[in-house]
Amino acid sequence: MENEFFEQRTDLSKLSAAVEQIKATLGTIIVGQHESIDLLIAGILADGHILIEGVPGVAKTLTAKLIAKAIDAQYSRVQFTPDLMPSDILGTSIFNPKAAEFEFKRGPVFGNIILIDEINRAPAKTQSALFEVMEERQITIDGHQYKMEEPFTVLATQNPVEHEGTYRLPEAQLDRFLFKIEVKYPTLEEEIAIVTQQHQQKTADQLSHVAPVLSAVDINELRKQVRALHVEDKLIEFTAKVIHETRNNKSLQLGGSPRASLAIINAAKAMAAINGRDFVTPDDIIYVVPPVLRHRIMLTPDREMEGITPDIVIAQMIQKIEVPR
Amino acid sequence: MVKRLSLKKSIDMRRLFLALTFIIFSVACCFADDNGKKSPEKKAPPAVLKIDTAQLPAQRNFNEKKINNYLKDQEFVYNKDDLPGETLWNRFWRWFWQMIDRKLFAAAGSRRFYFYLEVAIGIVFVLFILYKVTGINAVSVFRGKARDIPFAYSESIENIHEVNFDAEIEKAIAGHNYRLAVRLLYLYSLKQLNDAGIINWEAGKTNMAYLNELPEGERKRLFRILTRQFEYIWYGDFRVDSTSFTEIDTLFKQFKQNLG
Repeated sequence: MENEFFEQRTDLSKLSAAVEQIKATLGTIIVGQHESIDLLIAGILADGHILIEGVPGVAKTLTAKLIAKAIDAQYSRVQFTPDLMPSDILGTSIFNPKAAEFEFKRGPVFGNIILIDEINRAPAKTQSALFEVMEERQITIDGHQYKMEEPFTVLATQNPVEHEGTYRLPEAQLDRFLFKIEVKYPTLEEEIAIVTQQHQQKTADQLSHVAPVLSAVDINELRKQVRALHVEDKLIEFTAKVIHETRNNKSLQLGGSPRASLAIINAAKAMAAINGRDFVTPDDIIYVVPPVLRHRIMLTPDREMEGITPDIVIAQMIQKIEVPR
Repeated sequence: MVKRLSLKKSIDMRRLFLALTFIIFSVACCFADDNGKKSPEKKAPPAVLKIDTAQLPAQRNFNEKKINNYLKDQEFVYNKDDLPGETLWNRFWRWFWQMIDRKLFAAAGSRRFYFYLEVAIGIVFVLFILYKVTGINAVSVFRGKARDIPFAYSESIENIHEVNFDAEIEKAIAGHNYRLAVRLLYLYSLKQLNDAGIINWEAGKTNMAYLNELPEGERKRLFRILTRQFEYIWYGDFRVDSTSFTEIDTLFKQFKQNLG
């Protein structure tokens, strides 16, 4: 009834079916966290890396693992520790006495879905090993370039920076994450459901029976489809205004980069596709702005001391920027 | 590696040697003590108290003159204002605290100081109670409105309260610009909703935000359809011809009727 005037230009049926299936699979194990799941799916469709932040015990790693399980692709996991070295992630050249030459042993970063658990437990030296691979999808070792296979997505979890034994990630690395998803505590009803589910020992069984929904090839196809979605010029202007405002806002000492503008558009396209549209609306943009910007912007020390969070600044900023209509 | 092992071995040997020496000496002392008890006691001659008849030397006194000379000697005056190597900054703070010390303790007396201190604590306590009771944000008292972030923005689209929608819509239809006509119709319906007090028009709100402000019912259902159509045409760049525009226009008229 609502869309009877318009014919569909893009066939999003496969994408919609896959999204529904992933949501259903995750919904059987993860209680609540609907927004986080939507953003995780959007992040994967938008070909972005995702940072999941939350206090210990809110199922960050479980959610990331389930998403990875739902995709039939090469999955690898790295547990970040304070003594982890860049070569532990990327790989290293080892001398082979038989062949009398150095052989490159690939590290866990060579995969499609890379789960980095507790990413902020490793210092900046180790973090910087991820710069090239996250942005350029390649690593350069001993003068050789090794290209990553598509899809290549980093799902990282971290504890809030205030927690013991954590480091703040370098800004350059944070900027490479499409989203920072904040996993909150569950509501009372959700908490009851979690405990009941665990008590009945459903979770462990279901976790082992999670079947892949999409293959690596499917993901690449869906990403192409998402990239091709329509975005009105006015909405691109609107996005640029939002980012531009972050650079002039008195509450911020570091604003968004051009990479942030691109991230908003890509993520908004993915959200539009999830909502069954082949075009972006201001609602899609506004929905993705907080997770795209919250880790990229930096508050001034006085705002931080006042207890203002990046999300508050973002909300106030968006409210005052005119929605193109 | 071998060197380290041999070093460790020699340390262990030394410890063992020390432990053995300690044990041997302890045991020997015990036996020695026991032997002492068992040996027959020899009878000592009775003690005789001897009187000390030696002459005491003459009593010596401090030389007052020398003491006074020492007191006058600058080398022994430690309570000086200028200390060697002291920076100007440290000298200032020393002077400052000396002043405080003299004013509070020496001049007025410590009793008065404690009186002032008690008054100050009392005032702080009363202010704290007031702060807690009124719930004032202490930071905002000195900084103004902390959460109001200054932002310069200019309205670029038409002010919906100043546009003559009927004339503009007519003009767009006459020019076969149905896309613009749909946009104007949608803005007009937003203005009508705002005038009726159903929504609160703000340039920063999205269509979904307005839709959520509407109470459930036929009006909301119609507005949802209109919003969807507007979004498909305006943001989705879907083409609209005269036939489909007539249908959309009919829906807008229905919505207007519903508003009364």
